[in-house]
Amino acid sequence: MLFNSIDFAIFLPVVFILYWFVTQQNLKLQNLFIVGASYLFYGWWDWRFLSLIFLSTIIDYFCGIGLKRYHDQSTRKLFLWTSILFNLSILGFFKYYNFFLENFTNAFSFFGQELDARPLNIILPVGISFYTFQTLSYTIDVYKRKLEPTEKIIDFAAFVSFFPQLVAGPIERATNLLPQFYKKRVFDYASAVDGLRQILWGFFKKMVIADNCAEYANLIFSTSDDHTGSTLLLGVTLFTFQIYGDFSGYSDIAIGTARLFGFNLMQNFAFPFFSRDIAEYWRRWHISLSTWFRDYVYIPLGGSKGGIKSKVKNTFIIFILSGFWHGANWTYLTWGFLNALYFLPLLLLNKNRSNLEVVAYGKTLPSLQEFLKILATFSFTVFAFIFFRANDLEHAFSYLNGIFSTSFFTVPSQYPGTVIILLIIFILIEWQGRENQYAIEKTAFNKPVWFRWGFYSLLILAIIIWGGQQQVFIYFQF
Amino acid sequence: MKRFLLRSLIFTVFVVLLVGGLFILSNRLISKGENFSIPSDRHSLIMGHSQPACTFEDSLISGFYNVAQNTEGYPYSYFKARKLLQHNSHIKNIFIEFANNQISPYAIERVYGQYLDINMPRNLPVTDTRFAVKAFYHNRKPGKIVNALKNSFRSNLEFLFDNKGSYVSTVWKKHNTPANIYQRKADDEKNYINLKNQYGSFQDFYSISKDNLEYLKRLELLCKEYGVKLYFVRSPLPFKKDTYNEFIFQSILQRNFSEVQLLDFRDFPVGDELFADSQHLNKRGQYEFSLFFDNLIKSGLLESENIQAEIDRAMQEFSDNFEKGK
Repeated sequence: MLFNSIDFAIFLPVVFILYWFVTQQNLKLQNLFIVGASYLFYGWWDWRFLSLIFLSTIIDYFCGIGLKRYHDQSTRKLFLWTSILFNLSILGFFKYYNFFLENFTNAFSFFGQELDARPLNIILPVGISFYTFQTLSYTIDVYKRKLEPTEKIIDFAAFVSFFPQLVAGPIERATNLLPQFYKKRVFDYASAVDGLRQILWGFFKKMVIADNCAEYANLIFSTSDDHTGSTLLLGVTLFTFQIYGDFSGYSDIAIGTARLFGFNLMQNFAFPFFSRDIAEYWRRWHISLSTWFRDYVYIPLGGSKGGIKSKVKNTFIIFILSGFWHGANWTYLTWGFLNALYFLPLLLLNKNRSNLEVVAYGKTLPSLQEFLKILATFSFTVFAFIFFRANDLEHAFSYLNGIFSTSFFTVPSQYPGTVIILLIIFILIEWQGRENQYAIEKTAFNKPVWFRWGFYSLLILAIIIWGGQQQVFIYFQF
Repeated sequence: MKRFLLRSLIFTVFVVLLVGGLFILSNRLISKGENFSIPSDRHSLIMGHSQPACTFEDSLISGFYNVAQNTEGYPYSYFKARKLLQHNSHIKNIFIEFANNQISPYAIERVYGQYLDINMPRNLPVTDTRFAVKAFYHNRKPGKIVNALKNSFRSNLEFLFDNKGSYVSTVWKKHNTPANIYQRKADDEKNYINLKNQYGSFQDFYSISKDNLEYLKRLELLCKEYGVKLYFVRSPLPFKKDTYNEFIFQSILQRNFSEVQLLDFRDFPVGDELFADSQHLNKRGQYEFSLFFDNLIKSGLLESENIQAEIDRAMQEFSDNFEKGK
């Protein structure tokens, strides 16, 4: 079920009440209830998806047990590779089978050989890219002895299927989330209120920012041949805000919901559009995925150690893989490739860790230099997002051609005045809250309750008034 | 926990009262009389759903004012008419589409059904609260109801803060007649399948939408109360299968609305090039028909002894001239 749906609006309070009033006394019951609620949440899309997540849970659970029970390296490696191969196989089959088949047959056609291979009509299970990576983090961490495997299958099942983050992240590490299932959660008022606040902000980002930007971005991208360069630039800029509002909004709702149940999930977005360089951007954008690739792919490959060749190779590998994770299309690979190109100079010049602290920390405004850096970094990301959004490479290049034409210097034919005003207000709110976990975490914190409630009411009114036409969360398709 | 639940509940009630209060206030502000004035030289209203909206271009027909809108059921036409008659004493006639698809069971979609979130936002400021509650109750789809309320609130605020004219001209006269040409074979097949899907059983095929027709009757009584002449109109229709329930149509007309004159243009004799699809004229068709209709009215149609005979004669004459002009 979607977070922004009536179904979830009924589901959440019911689960919340039952969780805290019925299951609170018993840890096992609490975790079992989480599993039940999560399976209901996931099965709401399609009950057939449950078999995959169930299978993934069972296999990784027993691999974890095997890793604990057996001490010889070859057996332990066997269990590790069983888990890796199983998870990557299901991911590969459901997500990439048709892509590889198509490219395989195209390659044969290129050499004059026609292959009669029909693509399969495969439904992509929602969230498969997220939970497979999450369970892989468990088996890899157990193999590396960073984590003790759990013998309680209920706890493990709850960790795999935990509904707030099941379908679109954050991709939680077992070292962070799993131990939270070992102890009984106790209701914390401040945490629950904070959770509600973050949920509200997430809905604002999704329904006001993302959904409104989506209407224009979709229109411009679907009729890109008919628009001027300036309009096309506006379209991809709106898409950039759409994907940020959509994905970070979802993450906020997920994190806030988890807090209602006494869980702490990792931050997934840390105001990436205020980054001063691409390296900082990638420390702030989809943090759970980028750190996953860093820890489980980049570092094992050697990371930044070794010579230039090694650094270059590893950088391209993780960015292209990151692009490929998003979808079976050459556009995602190109997007990843572009980001690798952006990142490499900083890495090779050892400037990839220049901006670690929050921009203009403790200050109201950035300096001119910081502002220009932010603008430049944002421009690079917008450029790359052309490939992320385009239907295929031909569309992407045609879109680019359209932007870099003489019509670039004209007034955009689409002028979403209200959306632009909303974006400006949004950027200002994000800016004032950039030192926090999410933008409104401390907004009106020390003000009287009527002031805070007034602010929250304004956000709710904004969602009602300006909530755009409902769009599916973009990252559900990954 | 109790403190959390209590404060959450209080906050929820606070927000509901705030939003509800603003919503009711916006409805009240809009329902004021000056928002529903129509030009004083417009003495005849055209009402109904998308068929009359596409048929009559009121800028070409003297004295007429078209407030028909797509998906509109008779309840909404009734509430519109009531409001307009209250504030425009110069209205002398109402022409409302009496279509085969307004008597069929499917018409309920235009009352409580899938078009709830289109009709409510346009008409909530003039709709009876009792009817609105009944509509939400019969709809029973929470998503639709929330959408209807949300869109109504947004529509109200858009009108109040971005007011470029009266509610009638800003909200009720929003319609785009399509310009495309009817692809008979493809459309007919599609529409026949749609008809079959809508009417799953034999009983459905010959039943009527009582809730919809009840408000048409109320409209007739309202017109009598205001001394306004009510006419039924049936727009040109190329797809005759849509009139599969013709004998029920005629039966209702004769038994329940015997005092209302039907102006039947169903068989307007022109080719597919003047239609957009199986139910609507296109822009060119609207233009031609509107001129034809204006001519007919100016030549004293409404004073004729046999109005339908006069219409049939005029349609034949139009067809002969139209064919000659090709």
